[in-house]
Amino acid sequence: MTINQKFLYHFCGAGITTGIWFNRQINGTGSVLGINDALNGGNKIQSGTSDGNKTGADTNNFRQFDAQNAVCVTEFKRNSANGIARAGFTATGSDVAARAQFVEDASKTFKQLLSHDGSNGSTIDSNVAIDLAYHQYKMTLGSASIAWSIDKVLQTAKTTNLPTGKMMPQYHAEALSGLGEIEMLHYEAFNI
Amino acid sequence: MSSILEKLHPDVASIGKSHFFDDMSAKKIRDWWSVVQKAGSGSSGALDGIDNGIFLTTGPTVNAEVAMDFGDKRPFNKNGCKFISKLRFDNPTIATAFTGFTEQVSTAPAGSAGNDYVGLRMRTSDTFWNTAVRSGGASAVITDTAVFRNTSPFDLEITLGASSSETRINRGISTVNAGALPTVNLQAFLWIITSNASAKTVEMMQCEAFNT
Repeated sequence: MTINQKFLYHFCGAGITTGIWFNRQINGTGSVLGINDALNGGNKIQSGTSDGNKTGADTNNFRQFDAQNAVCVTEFKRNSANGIARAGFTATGSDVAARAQFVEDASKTFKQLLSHDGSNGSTIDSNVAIDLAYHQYKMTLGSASIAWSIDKVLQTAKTTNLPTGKMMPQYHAEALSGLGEIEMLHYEAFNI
Repeated sequence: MSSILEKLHPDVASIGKSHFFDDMSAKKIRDWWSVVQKAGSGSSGALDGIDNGIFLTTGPTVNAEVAMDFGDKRPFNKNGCKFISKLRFDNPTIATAFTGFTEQVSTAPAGSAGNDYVGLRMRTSDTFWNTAVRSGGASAVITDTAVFRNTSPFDLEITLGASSSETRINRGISTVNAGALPTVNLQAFLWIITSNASAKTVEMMQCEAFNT
């Protein structure tokens, strides 16, 4: 049996375990609010209020996942009326990196999957409307497509602008006509 | 390779619920826990031995107490959650070790495990493990199990439902309590308090808690 790299983190308890997640100010201002004292409370990260402000967390360029042979399963929600919440894989802490992310964008109609090959990016819509509730998102990165699902319902695969190389777990909040806020409940990644 | 998260949350109804797991291995108590020396002296950390876990130790004074919880972050549903743990207590006849779900223990006054809790404990003067449930600051409801206290490791399980709580020790049903449920949402905890002037240690080897 082959054992591949696996990562699982439940955002639960008094705080985030040091040495695993690296809080990153991707652009502009923002803040890490920490674990939410609430039923099913997760880790809250908030961007500043100016458009394009982005605040997130990743594994600080320790990239153990294969952009064309890995899975991400995560549960998160957008908490803010405006703004964007994203989670998935990225190659660097930059907001123009090769990446694959679930997108919960207050300005859109449906939840989306974004992929970026390092030069160009694009999104594909799901058939699930945007909202402020937790959902379970899953993506399977392949060499020809990204298969993905929301709450265990398969969505149309994405075949363009696929990332390559090594990836790290990442999530962030982004301002859009007001601050963005993400609340992370679970994050899992593994190579196939 | 398959997803652990998908197995933990196998259907849509289980999505979006908190799940906590600590294997209590490695060199320290993880930052998931807030450890507080509530009275007297004491220490905490990880133990170096086969099948050992983390420990809380009191100092050698009467009513010395140490507790750990989620620092008053309460993700667990008072009407639907489960706690699973393995625990060992080095001297259950002259001190109290208590674990399960609470509203507040590390920040509660000395000698208190909070106004709302449901837990399993080994306590001075009791013959058996017992279940203690407190609801909204009312007097705790104490129910003896039929499991004798000793210094062996015990597997513990607590299930909170909408109208009752159930505890199991070493996988056998120990108590079922109707009514007197906690009135607020909860956090996991471990607490030790002395009743004479000698140091005591409680050890926890794993802890899992989740909403159902």
